[in-house]
Amino acid sequence: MGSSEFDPKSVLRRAADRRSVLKYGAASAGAFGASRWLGASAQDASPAASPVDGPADFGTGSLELSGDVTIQYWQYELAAKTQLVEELIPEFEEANPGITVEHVNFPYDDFRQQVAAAVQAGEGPDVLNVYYGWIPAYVQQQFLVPLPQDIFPAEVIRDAYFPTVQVAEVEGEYYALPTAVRTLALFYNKDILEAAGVEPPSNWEELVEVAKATVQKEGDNFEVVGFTWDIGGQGHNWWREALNRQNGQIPYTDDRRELLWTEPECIEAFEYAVSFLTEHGVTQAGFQTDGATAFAAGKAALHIDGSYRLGSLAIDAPDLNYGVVPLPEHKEKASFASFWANGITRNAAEGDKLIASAKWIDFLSSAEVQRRWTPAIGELPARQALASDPALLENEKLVAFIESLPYSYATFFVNESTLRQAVIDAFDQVVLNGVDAETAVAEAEAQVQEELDEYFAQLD
Amino acid sequence: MSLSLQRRRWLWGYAFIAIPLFFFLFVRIGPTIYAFWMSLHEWDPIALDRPYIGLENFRTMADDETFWKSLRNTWIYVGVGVPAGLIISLLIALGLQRMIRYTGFFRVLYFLPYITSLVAVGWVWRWMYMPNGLFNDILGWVGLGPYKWLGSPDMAIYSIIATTVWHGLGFQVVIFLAGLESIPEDYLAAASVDGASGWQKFRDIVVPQINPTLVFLIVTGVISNLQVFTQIRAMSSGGTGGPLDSTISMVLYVYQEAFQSLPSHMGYASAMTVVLFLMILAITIFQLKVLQRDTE
Amino acid sequence: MTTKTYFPDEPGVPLAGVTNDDAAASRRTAMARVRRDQRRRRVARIALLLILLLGGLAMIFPFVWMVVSSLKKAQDIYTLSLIPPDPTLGNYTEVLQRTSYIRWFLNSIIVAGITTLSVAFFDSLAGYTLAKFRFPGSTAIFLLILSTLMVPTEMLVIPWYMMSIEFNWTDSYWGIMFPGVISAFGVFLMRQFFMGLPNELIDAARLDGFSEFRIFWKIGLPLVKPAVAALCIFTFLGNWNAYIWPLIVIRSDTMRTLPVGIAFFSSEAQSSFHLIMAAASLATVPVIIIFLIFQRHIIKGIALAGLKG
Repeated sequence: MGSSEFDPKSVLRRAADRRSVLKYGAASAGAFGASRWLGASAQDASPAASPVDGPADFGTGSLELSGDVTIQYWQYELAAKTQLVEELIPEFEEANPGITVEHVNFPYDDFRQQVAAAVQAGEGPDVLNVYYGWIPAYVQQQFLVPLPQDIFPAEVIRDAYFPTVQVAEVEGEYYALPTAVRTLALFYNKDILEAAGVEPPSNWEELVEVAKATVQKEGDNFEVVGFTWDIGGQGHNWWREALNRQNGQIPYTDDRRELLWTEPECIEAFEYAVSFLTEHGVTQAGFQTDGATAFAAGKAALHIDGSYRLGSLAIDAPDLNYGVVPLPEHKEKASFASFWANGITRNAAEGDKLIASAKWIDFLSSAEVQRRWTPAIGELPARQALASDPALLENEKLVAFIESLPYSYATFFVNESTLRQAVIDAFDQVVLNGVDAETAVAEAEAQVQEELDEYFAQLD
Repeated sequence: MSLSLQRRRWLWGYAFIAIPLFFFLFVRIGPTIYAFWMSLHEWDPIALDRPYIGLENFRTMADDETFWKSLRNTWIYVGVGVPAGLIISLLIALGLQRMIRYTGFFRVLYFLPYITSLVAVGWVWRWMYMPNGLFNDILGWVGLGPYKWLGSPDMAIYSIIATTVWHGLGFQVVIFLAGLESIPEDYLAAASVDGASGWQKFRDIVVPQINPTLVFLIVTGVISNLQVFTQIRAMSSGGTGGPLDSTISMVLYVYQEAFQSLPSHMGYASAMTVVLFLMILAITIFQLKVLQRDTE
Repeated sequence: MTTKTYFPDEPGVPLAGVTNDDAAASRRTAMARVRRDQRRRRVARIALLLILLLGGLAMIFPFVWMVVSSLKKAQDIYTLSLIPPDPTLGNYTEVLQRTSYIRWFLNSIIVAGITTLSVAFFDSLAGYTLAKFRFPGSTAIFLLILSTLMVPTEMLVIPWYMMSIEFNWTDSYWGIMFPGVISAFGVFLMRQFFMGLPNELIDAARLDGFSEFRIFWKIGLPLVKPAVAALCIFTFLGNWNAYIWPLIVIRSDTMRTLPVGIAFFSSEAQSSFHLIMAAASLATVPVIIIFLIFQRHIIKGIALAGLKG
């Protein structure tokens, strides 16, 4: 992979001197060579990265262990991520003698069951890589313990990280820290758009126009969809955090306690999303199974997805000629953000395990690892300072995602799967059963609101 | 002191049955009781405590729309899948019985799906059901469709039933054939002499004669359809219960609640399996009644 | 049998009402009728053959389409042709490279094989005991075993799962196998067959000084061989295709059985149906070949087990 181009010595040198604020010199630019999909020009063209504002890590290097300790790090299987972490572990272990990190992977579908089974058996992870939307549930179960404030002060996280990370804060405590975040942007197939003689869309009206111009049908069967219908993929996020906000309505109150999905702007945004399938007939549900597959196969002109898709497209469709632009805007700009974050479980609530876990999380979220993360995985650095890194901005496909970061929002989930299912059901009700948008959205809102109420009643 | 012959034989009996008995107590009876016990608790393996909540799980069920949907769907799987499978397989068996040559060949042909893994063939059918897949392409030739198949809340469940029927057909055909072959030929011949029509022969001789076979196939069909899981998981994207939960079965919902939801609702899932158990119990009692009347 | 008249070219189809002592006049019309009947029957027979062929085609077509699709390249996968435009085995090599297919296959053989041996032995033993031994509690034990048939597996998977975690059985062959190593259905089936065994045989063996176990092993078991074979086929098939319990109890990739592995691969393959069909072919074609070799025994076994059960 990229390991040959990456200079391990420079990392080790820095890892040995973790107290100091890192100044990124020319040497560190080599780290970006780890890219699978970053153009060759991007590697050469960055003589010096921008300096980082604020500390590059949380200074756990000075913490002392009383003896050798082994910690288990659990994350689901995503080839790019597991590969990079496999590379990082020996570096971490060398810099922190006495700590052994066991890396455990399992299929994404199995995530909750694997964790639950292990906990039941009195085993399980010390550090868990968890989707941010699951943090409240794991906190409620007293499975995740707060990150020690003396090591990871909440106000430092608030300042140094993108605002979207604050969704991981529960009652003033952070329970997990991400290495990277992801935003949504619009993927477009350059060949299809060129053949149709259109430019990538930048607002709602253009999105409709381009989709109409690029759709190809043979009778009733679609050959190419103008725009993927991918509600079960990113579509539900697109409506919730992007379309609603673009239309001038934040979809819940500031204290996250009340949903505002049935506000007229939200309904209007919902109907706009539905119109691609019903009114404009530019797309089909289940076309080639899902949007990402259709786009990778060159059978879709436009598709909304996260930056991590860059990595998988590089593997699955290396010859696809495509570009990425920020989500088409309307009255405002907005996009959806999400992240996976590393938290400490109650298995490592004290002693050497806690110290080792803190060191590991500190290492994973350090500026150094974040810089290597983006080219390898396609996720964006979670530290604000790194996003202005010229080396990252060199990659034209990444720019759209990075540009969206300041106006990207994560949804606060009490129960991520029911919320997602409720929104998917609302869309299905409208497009499959002909229910009107307002009724369908109201039903979804009522269902999710009930869970929010329950959750906050418990907190109060 | 020597044991009497009878005593010694008893000991042999106990020795022979000891391991199986221990197994059934430990792996079947015990867990059954445990499931009942779990159904009375709020049971999350990660949480630090598992409070006793009485019948609360069963009350939750009453208000749980998804549960009712799964229950309704389960009975659609049974109510449509079982008769469809029986009628088609009986027709095929009657046809095969009239064949003089190639019966072995046909038997193999029809039996083939039954031996293959439902997971694999579920994905094959899902592939054929794709919006731009085989079925829509073929129907397109004659100007029909395109249909949504698994993507439609109305059609998805029947699409899955079609796969289930296809998969189980061979087993039912073979059992029916065995039943048909056991009908004494004289009966049919005598009826022919009396000038009975084909339908009369079927109704008055074939059906009563294969009644035990029929009851057996109905009961096994009902019980296996009550537990339908694999094909739904293979044929619905993400292993969910289809569009708007239109294909979710009780067992799939149990699996989701126990093993996939966060936090896990194992107590609730156990309560649902108790309901499933009661349904199967009712069917078994019904079967015993019917069979008893049969032998009287 | 004597009441039937067979026409030489229609063996096995009885024609009623045609006897030799009909009057000559009516014989001519009768012959005409018979010829008409004959013709009609032939047409009906051909129609039946065609219908059955068509049905048979519907039964195997999904497998044909599966194999055809698995031989197509990714870009051809949505073409309708029955002959891949540019056939490739690349999908198979990719599946074999990306997955632990061989391991899954072996796991399935080990799990289904050991379970089948165990069921064959213990179910025969228990069936024999319950059929041929009378001892205090034997009826109660039989009813107890029979009653477990009413409890659906799904009710037990959650407790089994708890048990497996408690005893550290998850992710092991024993964990996958333990719920099935003895089957209540098999005990019931074998008891039925052993009931038909004459007691005289057993008593004679006892007089010859055979031990009880030897009587079971050397005399009882060989006499119900077909039943044991039927039970083995049933058990092997059931365990080979088992899904829900292995899905729950297996944690690591290397312990997966074939159905679980195929399911995970398929949902991870991101709807790359050329790969999924290759995986499905790998999972089904070997079984189909084995079935074709032993089809006569397998179908007979299933019928036997089904009828007595």
